[in-house]
Amino acid sequence: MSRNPMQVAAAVVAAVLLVVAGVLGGSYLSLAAPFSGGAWTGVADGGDGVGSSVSGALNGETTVENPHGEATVAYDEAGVPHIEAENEAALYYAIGYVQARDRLWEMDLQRRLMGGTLAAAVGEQAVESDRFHREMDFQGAAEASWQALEDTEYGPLVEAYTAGVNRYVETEPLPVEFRLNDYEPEPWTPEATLLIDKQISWSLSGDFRDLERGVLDSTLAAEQVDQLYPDQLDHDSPVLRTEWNGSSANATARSDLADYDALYESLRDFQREPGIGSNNWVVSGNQTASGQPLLANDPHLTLTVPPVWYEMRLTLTGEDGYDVRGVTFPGVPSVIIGQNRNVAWGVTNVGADVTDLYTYDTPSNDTYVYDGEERAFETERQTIAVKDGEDVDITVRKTVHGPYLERETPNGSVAVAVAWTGLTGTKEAIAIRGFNAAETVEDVEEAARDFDSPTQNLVAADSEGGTLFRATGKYPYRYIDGERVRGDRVFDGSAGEGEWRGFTPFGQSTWEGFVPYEQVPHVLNADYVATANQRTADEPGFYLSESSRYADPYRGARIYELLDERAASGEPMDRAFMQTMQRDVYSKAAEGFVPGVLASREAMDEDTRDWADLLESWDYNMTADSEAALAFALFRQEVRNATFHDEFAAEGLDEGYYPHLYVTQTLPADSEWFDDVRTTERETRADAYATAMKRAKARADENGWETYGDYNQLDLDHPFPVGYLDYPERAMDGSPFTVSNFRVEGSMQAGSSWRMISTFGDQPSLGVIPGGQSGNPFSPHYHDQLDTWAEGEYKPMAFDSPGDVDIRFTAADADSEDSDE
Amino acid sequence: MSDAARTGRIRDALRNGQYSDALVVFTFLVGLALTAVHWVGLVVGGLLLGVLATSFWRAVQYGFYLGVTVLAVFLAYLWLFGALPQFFAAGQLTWLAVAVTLFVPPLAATVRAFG
Repeated sequence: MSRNPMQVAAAVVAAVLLVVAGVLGGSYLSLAAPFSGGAWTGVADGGDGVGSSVSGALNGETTVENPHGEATVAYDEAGVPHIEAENEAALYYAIGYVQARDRLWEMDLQRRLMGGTLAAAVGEQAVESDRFHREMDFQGAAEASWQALEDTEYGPLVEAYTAGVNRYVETEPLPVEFRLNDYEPEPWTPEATLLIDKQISWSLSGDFRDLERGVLDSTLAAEQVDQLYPDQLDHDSPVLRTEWNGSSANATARSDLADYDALYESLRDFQREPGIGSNNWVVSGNQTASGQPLLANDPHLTLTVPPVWYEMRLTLTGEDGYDVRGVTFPGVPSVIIGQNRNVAWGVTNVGADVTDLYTYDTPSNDTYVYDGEERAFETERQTIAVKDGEDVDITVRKTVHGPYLERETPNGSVAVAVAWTGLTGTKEAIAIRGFNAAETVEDVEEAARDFDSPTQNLVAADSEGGTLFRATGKYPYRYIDGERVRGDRVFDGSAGEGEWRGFTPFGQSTWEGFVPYEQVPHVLNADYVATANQRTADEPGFYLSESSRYADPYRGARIYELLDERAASGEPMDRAFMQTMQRDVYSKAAEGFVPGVLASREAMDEDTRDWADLLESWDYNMTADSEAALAFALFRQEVRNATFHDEFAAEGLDEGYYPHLYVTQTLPADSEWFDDVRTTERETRADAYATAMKRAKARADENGWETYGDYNQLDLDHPFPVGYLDYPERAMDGSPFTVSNFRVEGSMQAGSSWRMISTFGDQPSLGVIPGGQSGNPFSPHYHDQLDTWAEGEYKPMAFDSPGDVDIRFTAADADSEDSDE
Repeated sequence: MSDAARTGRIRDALRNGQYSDALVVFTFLVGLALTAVHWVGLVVGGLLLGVLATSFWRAVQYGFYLGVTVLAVFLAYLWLFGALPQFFAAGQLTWLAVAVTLFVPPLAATVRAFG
């Protein structure tokens, strides 16, 4: 048989191509190939087509051995698991398995982020994040918390949860993201769960604003700082509008930290987002149509894919059982916000100052002075593993006060030690478990004693009609020379200033030098209480925080306005009214600014004036179809720049240092801040507002935006750039300053990450998340709640059984138990 | 009979014998089944079809048919599980999946050029 040379040549070329493709592109082929490709992992597990129905009917329920006993899982039509067991360890094992099934990649990501091992999964872009999180040693704090919990009743439950997560990891295919980026999760541990707790706490209460204040003190005149950054914003809508038995606040002192601006700028990306906030309110049965209390909560967080929250219903049968439903962060086994059959509860952020910073005399690179003696930094060399890059070695240092963060700046090395209430053994996990099983608001308040971190505005209601507001968390006292002082400064650590008595970083604290639980603001059985991250009380009785850490008062004032009007009307409140409130997009910020804008029209050019005229007949509702809302939103983004840029930029202060929007709104029309110091004329508010409006219009024209929805776009993308992982885009109502909260700030999207309305009457409670329950992009529950959420609608949060069991956990024999453990 | 002659007779029987058509169909199914497990199935399927083909160009044709069949079955599988929209939203991964499926089997089938 003769061979055709051309065909042989073609065959050789083809063979070479296949070998090259296999060797160099094998990973891509493994990713994209039909059927077996990693990118299609999860198709058969989560689809909503005919195949899924047939497969489900043929395969029936999944059976999994559980070393702790029997449990069942039935998913409802929204993909919410209803998990039921006879004993709590069996329940927690099932929770671990189910959370891993639906959100394993997200759990691993958060754990990596907080533990400083993210670069090993995603590469060089995460090295600075890893450096910060390792320097802070959140992992060490999580280990301290585990030591505090391990020997309590909760310890074995966390271990059961951990085993459930690992059972899933060991026996089922990994989520698609691990295949896409070619890495694997580490086995789950109890410390990993507590690391997720630390992540929540830090993102809500960790900050470096004392550095910011020090830089401002050294840059601006004292009276300027007092005007722009007052202790309290000038409004009358604190959380507690009735008098709290407070005493006088302590004096503050200016600190000169001119060299610390570079340090602050390198750290501020890792602190609590200033705009992140939430709403909650509780209404007693005295004010409701049913005679039963109502409770609403919507925490505003950065919106992510998959969503930050995971909803579940947990039923522990038996005499001491409970039946609780609500949301948690994947990786945390208990319901964090939700209700059981007797009690509902929700939280917002207090904005308390629970982070202090310390500087030292440093005789050498390796030592610092404390208590009159030279001490060596506690030092550890660590290596950050970097995917597809070179490993990075770092030095982690600590002082007696906490982690020591040092950065090279143009003026040399600058450093501070950090004390944060979460950097010790904390027991909030026990408190949350207590909420899950509570029967009255008194039970909730008692459980909240263990809620060490973060500081939260906790509201609760019970089926007996009780209501509760309580600020949770530990609030430190600081002393200098025996006198109690505020914490809004950087302390001299060498002199022992501002130390927290009874606080042991990375160990177990006694909390003896903290505000006693009874003296922290709380109210039992009020008719209604609302919180929206505004000032807690005019006189809380101790230094709790100052204005830069609290939110602008717009949302809080609006919520109280709606509640007051309804209460005064005599028409009782009901679930529908709660929904109307959560959907409210009336902007108190617009109400405050627009009269000034309209009064400034003479200073505007004709085009800008025409645009500003839109505001004249506007109802201040931030709706997607509104032209006026677009004009105001863009004006609002420009007004602080138009007011402060000339003075701040000259001092090297960027827009991150600008004061609250409310401060800008309430400046007198002839304030010197409106004057542009670069011109010879004396500008007023009208000129600054005209400038802001002109820039706003130019931005709208440049982008072709005509209505608010053109700009205010929901655009949630998965961290991995694969199209099918992203959520669909759509126009949105709402703003950062409206009760219905949604914001677009650069690439960040934030807003109501969970909306809940809890009832105790005939109507079921309601809840919705911005996305879906499943992290599997092929699941029908990947983003099936997104439109419902975006349109201000809800799904029921009922306590009915969804029907057929999907996963049945059977009691394992001793051998299986060994293998599971 | 020499080994070469024996090999040639077996090859002829496979390509032109009574069951050669059935063998090609069976090989299609084997290629499809292997591909469901690993992408190397596309190569193996193409190679086997190349060996069974009566000519070089018929081999390439078989390979292409295998690719089209795998792609069609894969799309049907995605449709059955409601995953077609996600597949078409996968960007480069979509194009890579289509290209790999259509081009790998015919390339492997060129083995027929060696006899």
